[in-house]
Amino acid sequence: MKKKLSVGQIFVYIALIIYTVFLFFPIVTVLLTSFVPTEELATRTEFIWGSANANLEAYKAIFLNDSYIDIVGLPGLVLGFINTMWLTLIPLCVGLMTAGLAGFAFSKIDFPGKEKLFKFSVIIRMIPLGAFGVISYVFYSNIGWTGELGFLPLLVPGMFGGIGTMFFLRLFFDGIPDSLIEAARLDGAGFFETFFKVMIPLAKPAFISQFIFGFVGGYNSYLAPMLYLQNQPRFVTLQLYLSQIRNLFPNAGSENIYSAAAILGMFPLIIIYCFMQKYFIEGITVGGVKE
Amino acid sequence: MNKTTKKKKPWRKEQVIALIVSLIPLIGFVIFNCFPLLISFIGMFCNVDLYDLGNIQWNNFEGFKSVFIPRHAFDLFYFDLSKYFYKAIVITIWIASTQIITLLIALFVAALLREKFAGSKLFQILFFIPYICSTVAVALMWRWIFDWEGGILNSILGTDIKWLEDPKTMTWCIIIATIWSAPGYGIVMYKAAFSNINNALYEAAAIDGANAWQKFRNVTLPGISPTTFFLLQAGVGAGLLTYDLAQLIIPNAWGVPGGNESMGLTMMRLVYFLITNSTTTDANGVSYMVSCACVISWLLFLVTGGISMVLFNMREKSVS
Repeated sequence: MKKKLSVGQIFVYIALIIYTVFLFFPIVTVLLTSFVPTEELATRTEFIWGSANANLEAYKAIFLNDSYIDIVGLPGLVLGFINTMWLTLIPLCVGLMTAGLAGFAFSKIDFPGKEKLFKFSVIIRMIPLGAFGVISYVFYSNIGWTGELGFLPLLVPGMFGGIGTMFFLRLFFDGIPDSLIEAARLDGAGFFETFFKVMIPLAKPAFISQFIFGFVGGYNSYLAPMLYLQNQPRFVTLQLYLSQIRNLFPNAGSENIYSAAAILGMFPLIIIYCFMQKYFIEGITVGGVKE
Repeated sequence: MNKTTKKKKPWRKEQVIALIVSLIPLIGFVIFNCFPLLISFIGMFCNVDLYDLGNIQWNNFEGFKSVFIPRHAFDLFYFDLSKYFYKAIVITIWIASTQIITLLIALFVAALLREKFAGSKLFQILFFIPYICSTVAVALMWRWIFDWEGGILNSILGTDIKWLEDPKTMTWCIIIATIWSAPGYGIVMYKAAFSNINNALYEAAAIDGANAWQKFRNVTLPGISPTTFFLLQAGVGAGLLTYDLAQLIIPNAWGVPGGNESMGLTMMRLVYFLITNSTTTDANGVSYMVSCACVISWLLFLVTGGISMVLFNMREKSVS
């Protein structure tokens, strides 16, 4: 019953395998290096593919010899992970609620001024504001949200709910029949009760995809933490810590530590992705288009 | 306002709540986007204090002059800004234009994955992984690959090139890392676009005796053009705003933004450099630098906004 591969199929496989090798050779490279002992790296003349004395000293160094332990009492990687979690999850969850409520209002409730507000939202949503990402620092420094309070620019704006997220959720709510809202209303449910008990359960896939889109963005975000939290060791984020790794371990032959840090930084997300890849691909692609 | 609602009827409680919650994202937008926009707009023409907004002084277009006129900035803050500005324009456009390569890779790989075959799902899952890797980790990996002594690239090629220090190769290091991480998104988008093309069109083309190229040219290409314009819009926009990978792979060197000969300097990096500079301690000089950063930010905004509008319109046309 074996089917013979056609020439076309063989070409497809070869091309895909070449691309796979291109994509995974950087990851394999750092994985290999992360097990090489420091003294071998310090005296290297060319790339070390594997070592007879391969060990886990690089991983140990990150958790035990990190200078963050002296300053904040925790390895920077662990503290960075904790900080990244709350700095990502709080604005993300609150923002999903506010954006969801606004989307619900626009989708299902007739209220005065709705059309005008909606048109206004459509227009401002079209404007790409990425260019102001850095210059916003002038605004935040003027309202005092820098230095010790540098976590606020990362935390607060997201809580108001993105307009793009609002549109995306509104579109999903539009597909939910009005009769369900009416039924909830007849049962005496108010605005918030309807939203939490009817809309959220029915729009779960939309919320999950937006959540994943926001989570990946927050987990990997670098520019904003760099701009606002760079000199605040207590508020170091995971990406900020990874970007400092060269300065934290400046000795010769520390490439195994840099490699181990890259692996430790990437793997949590890759592992979650492997289990939930369907939601990830949906969330990031659909969440990115937001239409 | 809904016409069926009678004017005199008092608002229901629910309507009041709806109005309030619908305003929250807009309020957030006004506070955290409009105010920074306004301040940076004023900052183009005035010296704005970083910590005291009351202290605004007309600066006689010094910000514009410093950005555009060679050597003008040197008298204000001992840093020849326009030299770096023009360099950053070249590098930024260079990096953004390589989005075309990303797009072609995505299209090609998506085309290969179009038909279902043993393992096609696995490939699709694998190809998305670089897209979720953080730029910091990506930069750590590629810096190690490009390492001068003991980097895997020099070992495999048997060369002795300082990829990360040589101005001739530096920019390519950034571009290769970008091309490595970016296509995953396009692959998924193109795959979805392919599956939305009506199969009847191919059958009709086959009846007309079209060959594979003609089918691609006349059926596939028009079918995926909205996706192409969308990906171009997103990709070029992101390319023009490149900061992370450029800064992480080619760090600033001894007060020179963008490394050796500034071959890794993008516009966003220049703005960042001006905002967080340490080349001058003179408060007046700092204000001038902030003013220049505002000018560059607005310029960048107008360019990205313009390009994105053009591509958006092309996409709208291609849909109909």
